Amino acid sequence: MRVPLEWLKDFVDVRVKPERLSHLLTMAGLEVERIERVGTDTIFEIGLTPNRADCLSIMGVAREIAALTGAKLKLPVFKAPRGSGKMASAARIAVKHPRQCPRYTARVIEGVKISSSPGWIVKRLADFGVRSINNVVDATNYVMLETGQPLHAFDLRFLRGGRIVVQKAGKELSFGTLDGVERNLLEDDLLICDGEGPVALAGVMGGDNSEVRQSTTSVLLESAFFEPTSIRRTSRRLGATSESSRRFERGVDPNGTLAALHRLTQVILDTAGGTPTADWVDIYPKKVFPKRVALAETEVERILGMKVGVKKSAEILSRLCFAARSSRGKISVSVPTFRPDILRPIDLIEEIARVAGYDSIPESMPVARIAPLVRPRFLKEEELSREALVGAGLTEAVIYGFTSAESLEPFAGTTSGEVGITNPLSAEQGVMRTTLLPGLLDALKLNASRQCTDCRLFALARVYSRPMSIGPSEEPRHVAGVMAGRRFPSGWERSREPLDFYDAKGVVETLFDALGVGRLAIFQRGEAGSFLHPGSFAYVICGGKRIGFVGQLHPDVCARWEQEREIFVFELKFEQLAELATAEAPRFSELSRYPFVQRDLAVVVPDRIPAVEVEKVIFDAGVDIVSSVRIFDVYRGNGVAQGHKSLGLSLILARNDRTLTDEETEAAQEKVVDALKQKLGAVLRT
Amino acid sequence: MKERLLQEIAEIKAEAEGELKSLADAAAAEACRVKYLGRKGRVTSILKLLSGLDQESRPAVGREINILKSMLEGELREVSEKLKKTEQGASLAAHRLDITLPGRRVKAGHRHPLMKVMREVVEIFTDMGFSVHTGPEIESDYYNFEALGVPPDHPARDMQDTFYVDGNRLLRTHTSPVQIHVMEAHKPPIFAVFPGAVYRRDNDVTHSPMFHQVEGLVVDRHITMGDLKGILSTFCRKMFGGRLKVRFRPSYFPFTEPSAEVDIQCVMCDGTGCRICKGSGWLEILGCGMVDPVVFEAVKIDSRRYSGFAFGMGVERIAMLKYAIGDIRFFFENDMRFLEQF
Repeated sequence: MRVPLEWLKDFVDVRVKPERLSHLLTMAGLEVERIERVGTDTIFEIGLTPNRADCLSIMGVAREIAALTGAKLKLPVFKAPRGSGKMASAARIAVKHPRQCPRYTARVIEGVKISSSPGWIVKRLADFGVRSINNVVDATNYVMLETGQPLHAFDLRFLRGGRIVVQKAGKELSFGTLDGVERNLLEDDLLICDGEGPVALAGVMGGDNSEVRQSTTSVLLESAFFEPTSIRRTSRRLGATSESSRRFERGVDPNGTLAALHRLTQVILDTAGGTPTADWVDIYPKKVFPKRVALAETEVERILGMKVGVKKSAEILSRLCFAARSSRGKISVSVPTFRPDILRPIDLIEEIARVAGYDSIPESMPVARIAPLVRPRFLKEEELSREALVGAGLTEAVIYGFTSAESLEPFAGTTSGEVGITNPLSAEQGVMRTTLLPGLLDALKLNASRQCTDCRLFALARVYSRPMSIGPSEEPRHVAGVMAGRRFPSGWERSREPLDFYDAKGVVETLFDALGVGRLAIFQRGEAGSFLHPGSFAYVICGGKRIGFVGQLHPDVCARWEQEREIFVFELKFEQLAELATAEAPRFSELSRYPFVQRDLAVVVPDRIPAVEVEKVIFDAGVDIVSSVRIFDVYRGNGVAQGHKSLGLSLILARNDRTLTDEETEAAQEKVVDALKQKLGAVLRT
Repeated sequence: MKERLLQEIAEIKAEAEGELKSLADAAAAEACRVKYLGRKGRVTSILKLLSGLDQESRPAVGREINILKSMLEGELREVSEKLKKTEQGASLAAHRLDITLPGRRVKAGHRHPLMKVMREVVEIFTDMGFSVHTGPEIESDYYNFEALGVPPDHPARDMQDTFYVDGNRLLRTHTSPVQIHVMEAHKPPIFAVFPGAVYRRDNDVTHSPMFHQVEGLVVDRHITMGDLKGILSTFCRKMFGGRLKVRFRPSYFPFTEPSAEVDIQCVMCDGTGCRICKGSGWLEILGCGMVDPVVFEAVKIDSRRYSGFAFGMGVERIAMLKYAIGDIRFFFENDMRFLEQF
């Protein structure tokens, strides 16, 4: 809200410099976001919090300044201008729904002359950021900005039957507001009607049918108090907000209604002439009285951690125009009706604290009993995993929780029950992700489009699915990665080698080792989901459960992200992985004190036989001294028959209790080779 | 005989000394040693002649030979060692690497700056004895708004434009609902922080539809606004530097009262006023306040016996200030050139 200093000076003696005033206001909760100099005037741009409806006016801010600086407040009492003729013969007013409209005041002025406003009104409106229209409309705006009371002027000619009825729409209907928009109203919307239909959306906006215009000579002035919730509901639903609705929905002073009407009448008489009726209408069946709140001194200290004292507290509240009396550790407060936000003792404590200054509260540290800390499940494993993946060369990405339904489509086989967003910003953000891959692929694509083709990214984050029953949604974590480009992009040897399946698998293995579940993981061939390369992917089985996959992305899916190159991906269910990590501490096995024997051999086997099977045959050959098998070479080509491969195997033979003899190792090797021959048709290569 | 031998010894000596001076390399030194001291060497052969000499002259001649022998041995050792050193030096000198080429390794990746900052924030609080809790991102209206003192049609709903999932469920607009979950599940004392992703319908240079918050809650007997100031000032100093000025300024949140914004002295200009702090010298860092009795009521904690404070901060904002990043969208693009800087 823009507040000109010169205007403020109508109501309060400002003695401090603008910078000092700005600081005082800011430190009392009326944040001055900007100070602007316009000619000799200074305009404060104040960011008001929604609770301070009372400060949506020059007089309200003046009141606050008086309380903060101790300056003299000069709020005028607006007297009713004299007039002639009976209001009853000029117009008849009725309120059908007093709960939505607790107070309605009105008066008629005849013989006004519509023209432009005097320069000082135009300037003040402009300083505030309101456009000048004509003298009558400007007067309603001017008095609203001054007092905080929204006001409206109707052209009496267009009030059919010379009547005003405040009532709910009662049915769905359409109504044109003066901003030129045709609005669809619902039964509950509160309207100002004339004898035949709506002439204004109560508290929000006038209708174009009864607008004051150049030819207007008689006006009916409205100053009312509408119930905040009803105004807010209508204005929100219609997307129709105005200076008026902004004030009503935050709460105006029900006891300031009439004074504002008098002030408005006077300003119109001063700027447009005319004769008001001798009396006015004031429908106010249930008067709102100031609330009484009692506050114990001990409460102030318990919340703020400092003693303020009843005397000082009462003095602060009095400065804010509260009627406060203190007696024996207690303050009895009568809250003025322009402060609807103050209802409870805690509200008063806040007033005391902010006027005394938060700076005056001494800093302290809480005194607490020591208790074991609670951490979210798997927080530690999450950190371990992130660090392991970074160590394995992947960079962490943060991706949006939502994505497009289209981008999830290729992966739909792996998930179900997407959560859609009913009001997304765009279709690209229409559903909550069920897999992390689309987000990671988006990032990969973006990098490729910016000439970065060596890209390895991971994310460890939630995915979302609809819960099976009512209750919190299911948001399990996944850990996923995408990799494309060269294997050693920053190296100077082998720098042209591209990444392949084994690089991605290696990353997954590194992750498993970091979590201590390396021995529990099995990579298994299977029916590929349609988004993976059928020959170059593996399901990851951990602890007997399928927890994810690693492999090459199907070229069709790559094409969706406009990538022609090979992309390798993995995605694992993190909770299941972490659960295994925490399941069991490793058990120590005794170290051998005797030397081992290493035997290297090369065997030729058919291509289709997986390495793991070769290992299995060796371990199952009935030789108990084989302590490990390592494949150190895989060779196809010259010297090896088509459809076959040569495997270089390194056997480690050992016993824990003694040194092996030559005969033993010889026999063991023979047995192993025999088993390979018989079970796999292997041929020893010499 | 004796004279002849002595003369020969002198000749060998002169000859060997000459040769020793002109030895070119370790191999020549070895050849020289063989020539004189080897099994068939000249010194060795002359020593053999000693037995043909008469008793008296033997010691004198023998002594001369031994002197020659040890002289030659010593000189040869010295010379050949010197030569070996030179040769090794030359050979080492010839083997010269370009040590400016990079080392061989799998280049490590990088942590995302948001995750780094979030961890840092959380650690400052866990170091002070706070627990950590998380909660669902898809929340009910009740936990996100109503239990926090924001009924339907409350003006405070304007402060946060919400994504809805269905009639009653939404993407949480702040991590505050975790407060409610925690207070429902745990009895005071509660000292906890809640990190996580949150969502609002906003998208520009400083707003992202998804962003991150760390929220905190303290509930116990005798918790005061002084404690709030103590804990949060400590946080600001640990996060941004020890001598930093911190100020608490009244504000409004529906679920705290009294409420405050915490400003720190601008980290870019040290409080003198710049573009980042819009000339004010202060940067808004977090919102906080004493837990409103309405909230305690919703979770059945007696607000006459217990008091507490809550606070919340945007991780993106802190990261933007910490690393001088001007546009929030960098965090979610995942451009490698950006990520590799952290």
